[in-house]
Amino acid sequence: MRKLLLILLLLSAGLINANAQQRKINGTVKDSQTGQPLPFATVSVETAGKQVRKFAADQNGNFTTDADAGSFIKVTFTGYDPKQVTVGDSTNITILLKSNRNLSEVVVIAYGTEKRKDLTSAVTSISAQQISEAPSTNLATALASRAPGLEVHSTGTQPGASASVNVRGLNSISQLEGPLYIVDGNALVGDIRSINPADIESVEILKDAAAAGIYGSRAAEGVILITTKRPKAGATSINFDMYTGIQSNNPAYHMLNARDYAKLKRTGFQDADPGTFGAMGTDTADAKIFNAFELQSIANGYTSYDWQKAIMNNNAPMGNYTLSVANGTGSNRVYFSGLYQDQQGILKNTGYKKYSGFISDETQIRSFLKLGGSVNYAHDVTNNPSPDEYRESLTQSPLQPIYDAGGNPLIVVDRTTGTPTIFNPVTLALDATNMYTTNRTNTNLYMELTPIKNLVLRSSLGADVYQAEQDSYYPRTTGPGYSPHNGLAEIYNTRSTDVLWENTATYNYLKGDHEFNLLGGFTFERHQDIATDMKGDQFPTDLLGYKAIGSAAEKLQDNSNYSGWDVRSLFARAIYKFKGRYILNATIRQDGSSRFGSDNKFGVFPTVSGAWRVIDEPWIGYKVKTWLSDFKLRASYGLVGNQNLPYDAIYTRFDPATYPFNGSSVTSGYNVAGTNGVFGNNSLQWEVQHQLNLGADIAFLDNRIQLSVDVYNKDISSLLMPLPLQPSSGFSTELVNVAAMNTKGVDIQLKVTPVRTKDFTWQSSLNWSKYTSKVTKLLPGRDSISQSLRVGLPPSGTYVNYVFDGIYQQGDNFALDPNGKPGDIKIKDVNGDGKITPLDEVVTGSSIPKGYGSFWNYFRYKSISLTVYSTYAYGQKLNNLTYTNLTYYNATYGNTGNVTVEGGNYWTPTNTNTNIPRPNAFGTPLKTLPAGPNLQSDGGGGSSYSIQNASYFKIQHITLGYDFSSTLLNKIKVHNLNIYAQVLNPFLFTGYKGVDPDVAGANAATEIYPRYRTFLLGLKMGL
Amino acid sequence: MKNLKHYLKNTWLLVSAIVMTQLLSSCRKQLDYKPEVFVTEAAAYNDQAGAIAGVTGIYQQLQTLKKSDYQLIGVIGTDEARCCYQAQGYGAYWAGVVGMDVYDQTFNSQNQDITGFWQVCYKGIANANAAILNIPKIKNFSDPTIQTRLLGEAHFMRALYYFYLVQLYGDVPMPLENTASGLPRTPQQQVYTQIIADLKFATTNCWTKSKLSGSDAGRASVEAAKALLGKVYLTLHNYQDAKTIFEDLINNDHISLLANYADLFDGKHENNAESLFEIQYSTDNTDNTQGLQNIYGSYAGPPVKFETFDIHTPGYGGTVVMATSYYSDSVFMKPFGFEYQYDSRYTSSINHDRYDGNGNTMSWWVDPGLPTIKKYDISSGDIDVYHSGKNLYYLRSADVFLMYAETLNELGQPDAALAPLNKIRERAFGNNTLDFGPTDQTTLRDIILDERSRELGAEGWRWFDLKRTGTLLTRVKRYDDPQRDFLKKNGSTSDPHPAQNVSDKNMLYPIPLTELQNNPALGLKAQNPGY
Repeated sequence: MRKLLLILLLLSAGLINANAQQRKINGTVKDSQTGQPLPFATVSVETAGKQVRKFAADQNGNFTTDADAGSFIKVTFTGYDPKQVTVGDSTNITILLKSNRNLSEVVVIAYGTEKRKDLTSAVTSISAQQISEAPSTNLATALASRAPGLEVHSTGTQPGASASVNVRGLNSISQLEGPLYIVDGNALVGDIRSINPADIESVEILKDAAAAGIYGSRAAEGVILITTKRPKAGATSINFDMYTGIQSNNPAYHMLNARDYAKLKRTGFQDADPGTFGAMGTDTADAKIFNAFELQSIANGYTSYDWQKAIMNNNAPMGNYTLSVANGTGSNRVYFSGLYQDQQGILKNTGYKKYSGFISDETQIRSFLKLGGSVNYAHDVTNNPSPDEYRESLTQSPLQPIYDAGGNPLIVVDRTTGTPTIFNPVTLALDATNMYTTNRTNTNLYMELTPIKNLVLRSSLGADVYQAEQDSYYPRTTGPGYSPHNGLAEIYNTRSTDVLWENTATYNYLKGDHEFNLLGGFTFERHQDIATDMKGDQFPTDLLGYKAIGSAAEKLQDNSNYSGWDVRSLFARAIYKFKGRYILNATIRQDGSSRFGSDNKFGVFPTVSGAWRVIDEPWIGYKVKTWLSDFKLRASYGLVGNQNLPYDAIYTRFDPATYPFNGSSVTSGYNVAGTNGVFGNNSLQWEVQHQLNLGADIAFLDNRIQLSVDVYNKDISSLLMPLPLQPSSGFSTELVNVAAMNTKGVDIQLKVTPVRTKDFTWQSSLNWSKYTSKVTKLLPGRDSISQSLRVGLPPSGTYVNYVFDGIYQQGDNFALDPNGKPGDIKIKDVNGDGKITPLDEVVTGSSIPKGYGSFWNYFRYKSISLTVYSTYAYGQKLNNLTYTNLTYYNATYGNTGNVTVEGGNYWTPTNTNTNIPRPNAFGTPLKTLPAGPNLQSDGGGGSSYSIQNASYFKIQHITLGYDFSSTLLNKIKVHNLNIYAQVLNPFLFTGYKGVDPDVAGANAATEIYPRYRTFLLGLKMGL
Repeated sequence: MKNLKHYLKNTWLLVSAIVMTQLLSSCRKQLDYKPEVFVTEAAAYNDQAGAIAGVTGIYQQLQTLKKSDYQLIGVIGTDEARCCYQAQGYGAYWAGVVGMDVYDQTFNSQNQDITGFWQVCYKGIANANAAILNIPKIKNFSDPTIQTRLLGEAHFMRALYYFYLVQLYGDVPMPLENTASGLPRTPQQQVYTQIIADLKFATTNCWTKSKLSGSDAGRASVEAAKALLGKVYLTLHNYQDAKTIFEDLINNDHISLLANYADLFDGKHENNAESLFEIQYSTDNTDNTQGLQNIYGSYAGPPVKFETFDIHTPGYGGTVVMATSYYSDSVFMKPFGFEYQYDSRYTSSINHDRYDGNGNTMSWWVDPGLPTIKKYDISSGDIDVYHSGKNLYYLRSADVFLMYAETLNELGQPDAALAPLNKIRERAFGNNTLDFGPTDQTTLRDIILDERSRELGAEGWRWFDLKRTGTLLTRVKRYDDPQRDFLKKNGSTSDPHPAQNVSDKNMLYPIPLTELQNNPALGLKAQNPGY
């Protein structure tokens, strides 16, 4: 009522003073958000459309000017939207400018949200738009290199492949399970493929101790917060996203044709044993080395059979459909979505299918009480290739027919022994089953209570039930299932259940220049893992497969395992902000875990961090602000833990033992120090990481250049190592917290907008990260455990090998390899003692990149947009085990089938300038060389023959999109519509000679799937 | 209205506060997660069944110790048995086994059998320690007499393992409760004191043989404990106490011999009247079998006429260990030169000849085909040479009678010693015609030592007998030098048989390197002299 009167009063006053009249105006320019004055803002006065005056406000944002009533005062300030006010009666005016820097951008942090500008720690956000930019079957791969410091490697190129995720380098020697994912407050670890990327609002990577430390003992490998979409208040929406397309073979290997293969094989036999095989190329010699089918192919003029094509399902289709509905009107807000995804693989009988549904609901029951919950269910089925089918199809003799006269895959059986001499990889593709099925349900229920203003009490109960099943069946037509197995099946089931109960209280307090944000809470988490494994062979028939594993006459495996742990935690956080530019954040968490014995049940993890918004200091002059639009410094230090150790390590196990008293009556018993011989260590504790992070966020030229730099140092101690015990204890090892390592690195993110006009925009983003990890301590009195695990080296990824030193030539000195011949691999005598001994094995490379990151470009002209996303890594090496197999015709080390065109350039007396050794059908006797080119089974490391530079630059996708105009859309009652054409993996630039250098793990280069490109058409529609 | 709302709010607060405090306190208790796929020490020793199961684990280590090549410790490197020289070519491991026979450079702290024997003994001790610590704590034992019996068995077994260790390695670490910390070497005398204490405990807490029937047959008995205690006294040359305990066994416990020596090894008389303690094996489960025939047998042809050899033929095997010519021939001819023909032990102990498929004797000039030890030949109920269910003797009455004879002789009563000695001979020959007559103490010493070979050959005590009687070096040099023996017989100079290297230092085995490296209380300098 009073307000109304006031307005009437003002209105009447305006009427009275309607005449133009010059007056003195006292004005102040302030930030609309913070209320901070904006010094030296530009003020101009316009009367009747003509600028009459232009000047700067003073350092406090104040100005005084004369102005006619009805004229305009226009204020501009870098980084803010300009504003114009009409001169009225009032002589004192305050002009509030709204920042165009989006200072209010909110970032999800542990147990809450924070304005980006107020962050004190290293947090990188990945938006929904970025995640859904390119299709992914696994959310983890969608995150690859999107944030500096986030290293994601897919385990392969096959559909449904999983991924390994590292946050900021290596964090443990032995105890790794990947980062902790918090999905709307629910904790998940491992594979997060169950989450539909389309449901995600944002992903936050908590990289430093201060950001992740509140998750205490589970935060060692970083924390990734995933926030799902919520309905927008007061709006409803229906969205439909889809894409469909094909995948097309992009061969990484080109094999020899039939004629060259025949020559290779003859050469391989010839000099090994000329006495037996005679002059090569004659019919009698050929008859000794080729089978009847191959001889027929030779007689027909080298008929060539394309084995790759035989297992290939080229131009395999894929599609993905998501429908989501959101209702944000009323007190009940609902979001619902469903997904169907189907990707056929480009190898026959491989593929990936996923069905998932997500629903979330939040109800404001009373003004002080809110209830909500969500359920996500995902079911997926991956048809994996058999591990050998791709490689075997590459190395099959191209002279060998693929099918018999009846059109069935041809298996060559030796008539006298009845055993196959040639298995047909096509049967692996067509007949074998290798299936992985998962079911995952995440539910979360919560209640929020606001008993008094600014105090929020929240209790939530989340459950994650994850069931996965690996089924395989190899029938008699395949190598693994042939006699003596007569059908080989395995069912391996795992189920993990994680229940997390969380209770928090938050309180916000704001007075004057002081702002407090307090959080306290406790949580309880229980985790259980169950695994059952059955394996059997001797099936009466191949008709039924693994589902009838009961009919296996012989049980090869029949096992179960149950394990689990509980964690109870208390935590608190205080954030204090002074004048909006000095921010201090402190957290502490105490965890009690069942994995630790009574001596060390509890661990405490404190962190502290601070930020200084330099840009908001009054002494930063306005001239500076014309080019500097943001400047913030951050520092943090804290402890995080790693509780991921065997849940049973605190116990001395009693394992089963039997003894047959009186000859035949077997008595069951226990054996302390039994099978594993581990002495339980009741004083085991967390691996602890002390992490220091220093960061700066800086922006120039009206935010067109934004740079974020973080450097960190992680001293990780109390690492678990098995300590060998003296045999007189009766035990063999005890796990102890003894080792230490260090990881340090730099994360840089640069975002630039080179062009920003009305019609054309170009945005670009570059991520670069680098880290080094090394072990600093292992066991008391021991600084090496193996050649590749020792103090000074990274805890994993190091290759220790003999050094490949080219090929022996005629006339060379063979002192190092007395049985060697010209054309054989030469191993370098590193220590020069005239012998090849294990002392000649040296570090030949590391799979850890010297730097990695991504480069993203976005161009927009009117309604057309073009996105190009690429990732890169350099300085890392991989042991390409497949390379040896595919280039070296050798019975011991490589293979005695076909080789690549590169392998075809093998050494002969007339072709000496090559690194490919001579073909050798009989293999090199093991004693000739201490170890083969790659042979792990030699017991020693191999040579560096297959260690290859795996640096790469990879265009992940190119996407061309078109947004339909709203005028058109209004007619068809569509809110927004975007169509796009996309190609995935169009180009790969690398010197690595394999399918994909971007693979997980140092020895993952045993390739099971080809390389391919994907062409897609998609649409995103909002109703 | 506002009041009601306020009231409601406070109720919510109160209710949730109460619920949360309750749940929080219950969470605290949840932090002791119980493992579900194995038992812990505390959980295992919870009741009678758990105690029985725990003690079973102690026996299982003995079974491991005797089921394959660790069993050779005590047998080879003596005058009774030696390795075939071919075993050196089977790889580094078997070269180490040969080294235990000829005490060469592989008889070192990294020898896998020397290391393995140590490890398994201590595993047995760890199991015994757990039992000794936990069994007394069990309340409500369904049958308290079983509780004391199990404790007695555990003490017996611990003494058994320490007795091996102290004789072989000298001063040894002596954990009496399980710990991960390393212990220094305990002086031999103290180890013996502990062994004697443990065995005395066993003699009063174990059950007598007669009470251990059915599925309890094979457990450590009062008689076994007394016999072992007597052996310990004898080893310490404490003849007075040895005499007392042997006489107790003979006069009060009435230990006896089987009528036929051959019955002892035919696999049909397990846990028999003569047996005081034997290591149990069974073909019910291949894990519970022993594979000694594979080590003691020869691949050169079956020892049975008209048999063709395969892995199910008695006497077939891997040609690792064979009898010395002393054990296969001369000792059975002593002292008269012919009596092997009448000694029932000879045919039960030695596979003297080998045959081809036509039943003709095969002649060989190198080790395969020479006489092998027969006691471990499989019998009809066994699976194959790698899997035999035949029990092995640890202690039997014949040993006690011979130890009693030795005791009396050492006490200066050679005449009295003849009775127990001839008791053994009379069983072997079926009559007293080949009994020994009175002689002097020194001569009788040798006679008894020979008689032990004839009676107990290759049963695992020889090395310890020779060490106890101070004859290890002389007897090994005299009777077990494969190279010298071969040269003498064949006259060739290019012979691969290794020469015997036994020397003073071999009176003790080397402490395993893994022990010295990983035991903070030891270090490399704590090695026995000479290694």
